[in-house]
Amino acid sequence: MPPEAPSPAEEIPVREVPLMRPVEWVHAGMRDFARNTGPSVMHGLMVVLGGWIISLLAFAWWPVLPGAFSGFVLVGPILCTGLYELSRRRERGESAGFADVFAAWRRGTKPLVWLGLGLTFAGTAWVLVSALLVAVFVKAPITGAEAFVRHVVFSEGSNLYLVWVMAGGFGASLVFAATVVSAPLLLDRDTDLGTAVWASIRAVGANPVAMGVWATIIMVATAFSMATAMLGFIVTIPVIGHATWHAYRDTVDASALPVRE
Amino acid sequence: MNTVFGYTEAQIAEFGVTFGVGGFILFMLFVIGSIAKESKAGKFGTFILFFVLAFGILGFVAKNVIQWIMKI
Repeated sequence: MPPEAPSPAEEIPVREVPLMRPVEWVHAGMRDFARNTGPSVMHGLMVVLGGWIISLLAFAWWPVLPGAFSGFVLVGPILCTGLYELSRRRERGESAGFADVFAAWRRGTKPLVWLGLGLTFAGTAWVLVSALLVAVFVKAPITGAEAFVRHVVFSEGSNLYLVWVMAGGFGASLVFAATVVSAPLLLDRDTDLGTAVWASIRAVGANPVAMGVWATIIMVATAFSMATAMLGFIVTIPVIGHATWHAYRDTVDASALPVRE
Repeated sequence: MNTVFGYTEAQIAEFGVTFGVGGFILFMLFVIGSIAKESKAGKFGTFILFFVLAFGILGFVAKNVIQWIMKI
């Protein structure tokens, strides 16, 4: 940040939106996707490839799985800035193409890297919590997928599964609230990670039901994509990425902050 | 085997568990909602509470789906 830049506002104003507004974000995301099909699909393909590599590792060489997953989460926020940049340029009436995506990635500012590190930390914490829960509740060795289903999902005689799912839900709700609009905000405006995350949390607090609808849409799209051997991500990742830009524009008023180019 | 309306006792017990737990989940939504209101958890706190509960419900449904697919 140049020294003459004004200090960022303590609290970025957030707006309330109608409950079903997320549906409009998806429509806007689809429009952006249709206008930038090539560069948008590239993002989806990268996620599919990453997902396949991680799945392959899970079956072939599972000890490196947490590392591979962490690396994927680390680059996630920066990867998605390409989609936000496309939407941002379209909104301004400018042309958008592959060159703009690469420029957005290269910009990959420090707060976005910190956001990636934060997500990696959250992912690692989740792996540790899961390992701990399984170690405490399950006496039998977990040797594969079938043993996992038998001892963890059906976990007869213990509440492991319920505790595990609820703990996951708690972690996911915090990560969702902290990141739902902070990544596009960091691409768009010159501010620090703390301010962006706080704005994101307050945007969720101002719109709990609408954000619940938005989280449900993301979850359903993710479940569908995974059920199609990840291939669904080719479309769902770009549409959700573009829609996230519109979610940010609708719920956060960052006009007081300096624009990042 | 003794049956009631063509269903065995085990099947009826299974319906009871499935619908009973389903009803219990709805009741829980109501309870959590009123707790959130009374404790003044705020809109954000309420969001977190319902998110966790929704995750739990999804987990319950997923477990049943897995059970059905694997026919355990």
